[in-house]
Amino acid sequence: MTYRYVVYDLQKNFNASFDDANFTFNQILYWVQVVANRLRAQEQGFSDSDLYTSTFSSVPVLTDSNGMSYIDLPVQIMDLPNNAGVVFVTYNVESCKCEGPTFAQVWFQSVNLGAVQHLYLDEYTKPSVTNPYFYRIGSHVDGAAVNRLYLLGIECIKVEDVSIAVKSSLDPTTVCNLDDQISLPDELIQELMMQVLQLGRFIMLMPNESVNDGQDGGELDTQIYANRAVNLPDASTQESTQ
Amino acid sequence: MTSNDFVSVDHLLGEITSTVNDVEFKRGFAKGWYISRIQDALQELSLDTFWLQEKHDFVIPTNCRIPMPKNVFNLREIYLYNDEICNPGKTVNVYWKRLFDNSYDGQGYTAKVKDDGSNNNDPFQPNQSFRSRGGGFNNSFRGPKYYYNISDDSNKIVMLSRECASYKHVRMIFNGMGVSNGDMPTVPRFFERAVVDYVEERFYNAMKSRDIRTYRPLWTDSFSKLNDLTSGSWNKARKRVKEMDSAEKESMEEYISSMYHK
Repeated sequence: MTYRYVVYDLQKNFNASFDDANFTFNQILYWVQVVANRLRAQEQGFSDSDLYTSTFSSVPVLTDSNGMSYIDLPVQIMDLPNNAGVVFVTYNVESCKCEGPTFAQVWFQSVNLGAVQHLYLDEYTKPSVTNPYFYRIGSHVDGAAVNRLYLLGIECIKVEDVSIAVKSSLDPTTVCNLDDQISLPDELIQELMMQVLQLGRFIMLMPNESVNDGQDGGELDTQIYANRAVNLPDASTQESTQ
Repeated sequence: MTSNDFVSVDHLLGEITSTVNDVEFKRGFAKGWYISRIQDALQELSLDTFWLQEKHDFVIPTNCRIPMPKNVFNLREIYLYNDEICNPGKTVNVYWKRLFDNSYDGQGYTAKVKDDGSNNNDPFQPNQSFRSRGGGFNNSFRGPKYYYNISDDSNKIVMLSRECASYKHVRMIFNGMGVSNGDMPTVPRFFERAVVDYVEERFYNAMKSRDIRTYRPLWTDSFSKLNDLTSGSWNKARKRVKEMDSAEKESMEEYISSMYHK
């Protein structure tokens, strides 16, 4: 199902219900992406499939000012329990083809930053070249906004790049082509449309009193809802008509 | 232990992580934690069954004191020999001497019973004497010359009598506790069930503190599977070790029957 098809349909539905409201195509497109992200994360928990997995075969390994190795995540990822948003991080060793693909060899295991010290207590869990780890910093490092995975155990070797697979999120602000497929299985499109319609209806039902019109004084607006009152049919008129 | 068949750590992890639902090492613990538990299991099996033996050869130092190697316990045999490690020549047994102590750095020693005549006048602990086959006492030789004791210090030392220094090497055979911590364990195939069940039990035991409602019944099941006196894999492993070495038992029965019935 393409963005164009779904968003056009939604826009038509909105305009039918709220005919004087100005729902732009881009605004609905943005809602579609926002809702799709939630549905993707929700569905991921149920299905545990790789439908939402993206792979990147060569992500460059960089070094920060403290000498720590890291990679910048090429996309935003789902924040799932136990770092499940990162499916794997592995060495990108082209020559390592003896038993399956490289991602079936050495994995960087996930660890929370606060638990890193604990790894060094046991000889078997200690980070090393053959037993590397990653932890995620998703906010700021020394004041700079980051979306990084730091790598532990490779301090003694030079790693140029790594292969990764992640459960990616959609960027709500960017849809390159309206004829692209929405990254959801077709059976969730109905759910997506319902959620977007709910979102629109919620916004249209926002109480008028909460809107600051910038005017001081005047009579209190007796309309409870900003748009519903003018859009919904008058019940008394309906009765008299019938 | 007559077996040269082992299973790899990866083989064990394949089953364990599937059973405990942690194939990505994200829901429970890091991969190293599981390997550490496998090593624990081997260590416990070693202490319970004495299945593993390790041989260590040393050049005898002038002070006759040799630090015990790591990862071993229970000295089983000790020999002195000349020539080379790969081809021992003349060999003698070394016996344990009660209360022998050559601390700290010399060949002299203390003991309640001495073999050098120095406690001649002690009415309770006279010098040890050796009765010769021909009858009478052979006062020129007071007990075995080659003996040892293990120091009670925290840093265990095998203390040898000074006569041992007349030999070039000493060979000691210990029970082993498995590989050194940090090395990759090798698991005999006949211990596979016990090791798998041990790690699963340890996993559920540790996970109880995260979610006791989920993991306590799982832990109870795994505990039974491991420790049941009749069907538990741990006791089965112990029995397997005891029932091995059929050829040795056969030979032993033949020796004994030859002694008394022929």
